[in-house]
Amino acid sequence: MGQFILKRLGESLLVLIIGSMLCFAFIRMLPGDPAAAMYGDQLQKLSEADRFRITENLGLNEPLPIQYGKWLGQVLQGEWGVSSISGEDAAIVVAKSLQPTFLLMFSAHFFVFTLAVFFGVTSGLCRRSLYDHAVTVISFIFMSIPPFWFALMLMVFFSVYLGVLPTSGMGEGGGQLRFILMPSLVLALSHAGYYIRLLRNHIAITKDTGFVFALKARGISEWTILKNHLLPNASIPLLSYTGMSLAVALAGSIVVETIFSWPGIGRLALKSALAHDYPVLLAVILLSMVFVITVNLLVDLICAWIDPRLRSQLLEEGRR
Amino acid sequence: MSKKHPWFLILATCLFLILIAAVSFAPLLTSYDPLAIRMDRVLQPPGSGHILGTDELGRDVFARLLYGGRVSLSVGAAAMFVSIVAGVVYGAISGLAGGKVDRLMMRVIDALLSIPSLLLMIGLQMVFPASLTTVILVISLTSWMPIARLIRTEILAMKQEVFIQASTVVGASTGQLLRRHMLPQCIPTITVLAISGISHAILAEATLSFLGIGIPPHEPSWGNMLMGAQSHLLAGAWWLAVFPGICITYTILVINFLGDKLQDRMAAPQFRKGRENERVSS
Repeated sequence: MGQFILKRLGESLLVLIIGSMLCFAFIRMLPGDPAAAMYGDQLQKLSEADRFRITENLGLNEPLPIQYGKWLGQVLQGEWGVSSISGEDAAIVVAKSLQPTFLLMFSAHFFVFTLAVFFGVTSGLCRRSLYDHAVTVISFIFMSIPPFWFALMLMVFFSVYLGVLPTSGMGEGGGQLRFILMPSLVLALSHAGYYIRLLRNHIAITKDTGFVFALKARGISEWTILKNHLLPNASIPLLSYTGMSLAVALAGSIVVETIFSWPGIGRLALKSALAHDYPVLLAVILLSMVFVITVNLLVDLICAWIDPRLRSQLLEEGRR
Repeated sequence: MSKKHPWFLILATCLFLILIAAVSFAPLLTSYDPLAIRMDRVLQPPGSGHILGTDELGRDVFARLLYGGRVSLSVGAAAMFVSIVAGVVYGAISGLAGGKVDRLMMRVIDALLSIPSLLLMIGLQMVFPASLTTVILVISLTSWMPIARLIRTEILAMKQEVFIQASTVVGASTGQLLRRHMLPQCIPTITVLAISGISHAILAEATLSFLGIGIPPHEPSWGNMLMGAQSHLLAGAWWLAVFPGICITYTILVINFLGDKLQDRMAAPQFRKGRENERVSS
């Protein structure tokens, strides 16, 4: 296990370094000269020598690896630049909108797991039945509906036609439940299909394996087998899939948060991009990258801890 | 049943061809110009004259749907093509190189995949000027990674196969191996990936346009139409939002269906026979 943890930690660190290089490349690719951004029209009036001095002072004449090193140092020390809209520290602007996004993610995943466990397990147990086909077809349809359109349709039905749910905002205290229902439902239903398929296939395959047959032969009830053997067995693919699709869920939250004016980091990212507020946009990109990499590392470690087969398999792969 | 007679595959293909035909023969199906502004016919509900109504500038929704479909489908196809080429090249290099190079190349993919794709698209969209080409480029730049991963896995597995090792012993160069043996073996995988790639790209284009950072607003596209519909939705102009959404859903559903059935077909025993025999005899 120790060897596995070390290897996986090293990998994640390498991914983080490569990711930070990509972010740095992104900053350099952005349109506009940093000197022009600071001095505006004044830059044209300055002499050639002055202009050179400014770029020199900003460190723009140094070789790229050194610039990258300096930039990384600043990022690690928490100097993420200042938002060009509000003038606040970019890190603080992002930190403020983290909580709503976590809330949304949490409630969306609650719906996803409830749907997935119920429909995935029941349809996996009665494989090839009419019910199983119906679940497959319906989840297939939901996987194909664009989430933003689904959100609009829900809004028309529940907010305009029935007038029971608010269209935007977050609400306060106990009233929050009414506000979070539609955004998390949209997010959940657009992902639930994949989870249902995953669980259905896993249950359908494991229920025909030798160990389940042996349990049945010993006279253990179907329900006990499901509760004590099939479900715990299915938790590993479920967990690793959740980790893998975290980036997808975050991408989905950009759309959902924008439509429902949910004050999270997704809406913040789009808003700052449209306003050319690059420090904030970069902070969101960096943070979500670190978050996704860390969660995936944890998920892999937990899975390897539960299932020793995975551990040896992954170590084997590295050697090849 | 479906293994023997690919009814579902035929059905999916037909549904897909209907879509292609509808957008290709758009001028025959509607006499309206999708860009013609008629301020005397603003926000007309579906019915006489305009089958699916008109939008806030009096433009015919049906005509815009058909011409918008052209944009959406061609952006989807182009983005898919670019990402497949990039993914196959990257995956093949990584798989063939093996060892440290391979591991490093895979970590680059991990890093790219750990940034939410839409965030990556938004960021890239800021770098390049807004245009149709940019949208295609941005979508393909953010969707080649899973393709590269799969191709790399296939190539790595193939390197272990005896017939590849035999070819190496006989003196085949790496280029020959790739061209004559490895890439042809990857064609089933690439086909399935290409089909799911189109639906992914169409959804990405619609999402970007809907958020206002995709196709420039004057061009009709399904995502653009939905973005425009948002402000009139609460006023009761439901037809502006319902029909483009149905078009996107239909397209993605049909393409996913086609990809799914094609994948089943390619996993079917009679299709795999040749490959299995090779393995057994070698």
